[in-house]
Amino acid sequence: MKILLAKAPRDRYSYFRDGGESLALGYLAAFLRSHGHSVNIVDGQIERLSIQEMVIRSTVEDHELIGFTIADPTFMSSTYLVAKAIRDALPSAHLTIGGYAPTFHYSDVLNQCSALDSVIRNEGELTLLCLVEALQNCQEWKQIPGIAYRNNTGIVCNDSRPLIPNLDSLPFPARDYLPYIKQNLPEFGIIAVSGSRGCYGSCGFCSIRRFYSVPDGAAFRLRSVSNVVDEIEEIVSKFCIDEFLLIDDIFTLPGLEGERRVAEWTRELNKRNLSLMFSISDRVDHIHRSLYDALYNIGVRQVMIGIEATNANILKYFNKKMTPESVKKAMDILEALNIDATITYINFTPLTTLEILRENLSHLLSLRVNFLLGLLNRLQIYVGTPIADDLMRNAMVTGEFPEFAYRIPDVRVEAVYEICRQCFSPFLEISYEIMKLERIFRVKIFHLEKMGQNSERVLKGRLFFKRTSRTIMEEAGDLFGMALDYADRHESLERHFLVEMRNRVQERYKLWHRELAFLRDYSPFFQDSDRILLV
Amino acid sequence: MASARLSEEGFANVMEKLRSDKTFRNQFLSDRPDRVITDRGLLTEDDAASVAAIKWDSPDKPFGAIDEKLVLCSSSGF
Repeated sequence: MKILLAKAPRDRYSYFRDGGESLALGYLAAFLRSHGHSVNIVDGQIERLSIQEMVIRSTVEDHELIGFTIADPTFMSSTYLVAKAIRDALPSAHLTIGGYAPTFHYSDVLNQCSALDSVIRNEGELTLLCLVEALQNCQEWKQIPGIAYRNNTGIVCNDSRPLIPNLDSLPFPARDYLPYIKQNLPEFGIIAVSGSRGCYGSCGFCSIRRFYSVPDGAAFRLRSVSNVVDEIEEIVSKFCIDEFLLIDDIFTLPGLEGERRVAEWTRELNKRNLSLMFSISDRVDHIHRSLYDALYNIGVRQVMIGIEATNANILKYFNKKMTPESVKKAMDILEALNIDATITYINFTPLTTLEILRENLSHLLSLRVNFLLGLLNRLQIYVGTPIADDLMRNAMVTGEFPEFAYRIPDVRVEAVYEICRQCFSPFLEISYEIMKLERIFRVKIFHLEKMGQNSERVLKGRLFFKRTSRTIMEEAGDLFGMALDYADRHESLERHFLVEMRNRVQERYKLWHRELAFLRDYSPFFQDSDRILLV
Repeated sequence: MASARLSEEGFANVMEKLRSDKTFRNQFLSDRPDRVITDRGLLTEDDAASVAAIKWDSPDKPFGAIDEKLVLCSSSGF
């Protein structure tokens, strides 16, 4: 049976900038291949394919089953378009879809896109395999647990399939796109490895917990450290890569268990003589000096922290169980260890007032990090989360999936958001430029240290970069402050203000861009070859 | 244009000036083609004459010849 697993390109500008492989496609492909099936993968997001190109690539062979993965709702409409075109070209193929959004919105998805035959809900490997084998053997597939489908009377949702109890039993994900990323996206691409599924946090806005807690089985599962390092070792030997993103939602575990697992990582990496650089995600309350000394020693040089808020009421609303003080303390530890901190932050929420926006800005400036993405970020509604339930109960949600929306009661905040939307998109661009340069410094310093060479000069350069980045944050903060002042004093947005603001931001962006390019291309800290990080 | 790297000292000078001189920063690498970054900072045509290290190949083309520590900024940007 000819199988295609596909990811359409995003249909709009996103808060996220992808450059990495889809582990979902990789895991599904590897699982099917390990059962003797032949699978192609097309990732339209990585390859930046147009809808037309995506359709041509998907129909170049007579695929009999095409499975789409959807990471978040910003992929929905483009996936629908691709599915419809494939349906016309391959009328007898079975088209299915899986991922977070289709799991929770299976009914909407099947109603909105008649080209799709089924939805695979929750964890996909076993359900997809059953579907493939049923179709291949011309057997009934509508009884398969974990599937939702359309019949004459409406949408049918079968029982959930229990989660895979032992993640070590899964084959390592297929890495079909790794050579492509290495060749074409060296500045963005970073190789992701997953050591767990699910999350033991309970953030009010996040659907991961529900995704894994609805089916039977442990909602948070870990792979053994030796199994994860086996996978990493295989990638290192095949592709000569020494930088990895450990993509677990929370890398460390609380308390003694956390220390034990980090010690196991240390043992496994040392045993195999692997000197690698890692990026991880973690909770603020797990960032302690002793644990992070150990993490630094195994190569952790970047930590992504979901701060999300700094106002006490909003932290409570998000159920984040942290305080602004604990955030500050964690940042200080990371700074002292020369570990880059990357934060996620949600500036606009239904509870946000103009006063809170001012407070947020001042907190963000005090953290000495790149906060530009978070400054513009607005809380998204994911069905099944406590916050979405609450908003729906209070009739605050308008629109239909995938275009849910809500009005923020403080109209001044909506005005600021509109100013951001219309004028501040260069903030996103400059944020990615900062992240790229930060990564170049990180990699360069790591490689010099690994080779036993003196990294003092580049560390000095990193200080210049940090100062430049700081100035950019301050100037961006000033521009955001102007938007706050305007919204505070005016009842409506005047066109001339928007034009003026857009021009100011553009002008600043040009300057910021040049300063960063100056550091990258004309400073004595790099060679041109440093731009190509993965080769 | 191929990259030319400033010396550490020259780079530090430019960065220091960027931090301390707001006007300089705001003018930093504007699209004007008559600006040059040197080890001593950003120069305009007026103060170029005072920089002994620069060897101009002809008075008509003050920025025609630059030594390896200089970066000519043009409207094509970096």
